[in-house]
Amino acid sequence: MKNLSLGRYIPNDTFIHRLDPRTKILAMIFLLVIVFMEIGFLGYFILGIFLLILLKVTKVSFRTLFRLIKNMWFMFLFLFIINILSFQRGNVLLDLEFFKIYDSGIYQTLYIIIRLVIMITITTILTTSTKPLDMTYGLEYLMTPLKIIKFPTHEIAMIISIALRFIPTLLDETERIMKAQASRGSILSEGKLKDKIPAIISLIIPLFFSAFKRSDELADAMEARGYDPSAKRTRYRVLKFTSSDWLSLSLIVVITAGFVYLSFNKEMIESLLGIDLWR
Amino acid sequence: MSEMIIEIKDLFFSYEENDEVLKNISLCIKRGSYTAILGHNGSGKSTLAKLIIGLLPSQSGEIIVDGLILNEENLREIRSKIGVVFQNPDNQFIGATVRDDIAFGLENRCVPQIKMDDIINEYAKKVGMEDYLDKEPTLLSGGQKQRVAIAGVLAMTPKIVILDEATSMLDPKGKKEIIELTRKMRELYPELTVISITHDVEEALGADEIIVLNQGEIYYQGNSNDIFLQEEKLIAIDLDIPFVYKLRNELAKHEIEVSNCNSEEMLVNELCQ
Repeated sequence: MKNLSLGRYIPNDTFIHRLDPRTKILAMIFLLVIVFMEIGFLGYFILGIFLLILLKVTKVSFRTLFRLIKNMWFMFLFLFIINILSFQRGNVLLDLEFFKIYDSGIYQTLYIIIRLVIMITITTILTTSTKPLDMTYGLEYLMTPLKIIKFPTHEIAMIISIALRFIPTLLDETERIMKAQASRGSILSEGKLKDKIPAIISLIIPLFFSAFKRSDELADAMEARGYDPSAKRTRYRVLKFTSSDWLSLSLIVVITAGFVYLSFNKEMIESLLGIDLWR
Repeated sequence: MSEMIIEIKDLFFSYEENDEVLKNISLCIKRGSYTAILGHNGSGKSTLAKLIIGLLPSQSGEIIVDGLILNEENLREIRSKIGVVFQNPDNQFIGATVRDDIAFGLENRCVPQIKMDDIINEYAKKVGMEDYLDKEPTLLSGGQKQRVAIAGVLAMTPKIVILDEATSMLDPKGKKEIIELTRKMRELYPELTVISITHDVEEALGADEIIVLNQGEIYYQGNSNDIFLQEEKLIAIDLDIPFVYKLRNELAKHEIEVSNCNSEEMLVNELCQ
């Protein structure tokens, strides 16, 4: 159970790993915006190459990525069927008496699959290169403007960081309770679902009970050490924007601007290159 | 500045009505002393610790810490004078790594960020955890986690350190480490007042003063030597006495007089002479 790594952070020391989490989160938002623009196959091709470079820099193995995408084949198939059934215009590709398959359905499916794969790739790059805790700090900082509308950014960041801290502890606890219940004859891994329900209950109730006890004691320990969410505190982990962060952000902004230009001037580029970019 | 760092007068506390956990507690703890509060489960000893740092509100009575009466306004200031090491090593580890955990208290005290690393290194060294600074809590033993907790508490330069059953969830090795560290801590900071709350009489050995709680009342208060020589009194409330005193009492029955020694080593030396 220990090897269940949440957020799939892979420790490494690459250019992307060293970037400020805020840079990475902002870059992710920009890239996700690009994904939802109408940039055509050429645009996705360029974006794909850019992401391949990022993957290479982050040293994420293609196998990791492939495993994530592989799990979605059923969804892809489902999308394919839905699109073929619902898009009934354009050129007929296959005529099966009772119903026709049009090329627009295929293209639409391809677009959606490409978008999904690109989105998965972007988030994978972010999560493998950023520690969950750093991500929390980054999000807290980026959400600071929300403080104006009394949004408790600091409290939420503290809650997330404590939750992250206690995931391994609670997993250990789960394992211990499972063993304790197994020794009393309540085995989770065997039997039908109907038989499993009492076993699950006998796991969840003690787990919740101990989690509440823990949170109680944790609250005491935090208070005893002078924690007061409303008071001013200093920070040990300070996020630092370096020149490479500015550089990366500028690059992303330029790329985004390029894609915006592409999506608004499709016809011009099409006639320039002499190919049909958009269907 | 009074000689007493903690003064408690007529303290009463109950979680539920008509079920008093602490009854009419009055006690004083000397500045720079090492006091052990002994008692069984349910004797109210942990509740007493929580009352002193204001985690629980008392029903009646008065608690004075370092000249300040505990109330809403003084709470923050009083808490800055007291550091507590709790029982469960996991449930007081707040940071993601050892470094972050020691930093947590410093952040609350608004210590400037540039100074934090030096402070963290200094105190990690004092508890012998300097090689584990970037380790996560799951990779540490219970004893190591408690050492981190002590470092976190000491880094805030308190006047009082309360060890609330800090060793009761540890294995024998971890327990020994923490007792050893407590001794070292007292040598390093002679002005520090240490209060050890425990049900283990061996841990109370070497305390300047012992307060025995039984069913929410003070059963005995005094010098450790005096109480451990009165075996029956402790056994009457199901507490034991340390091995050294057991042996001394046995020897006394056989009319072998030994002088005041409160460790096994001292006793062995004396008997061998």
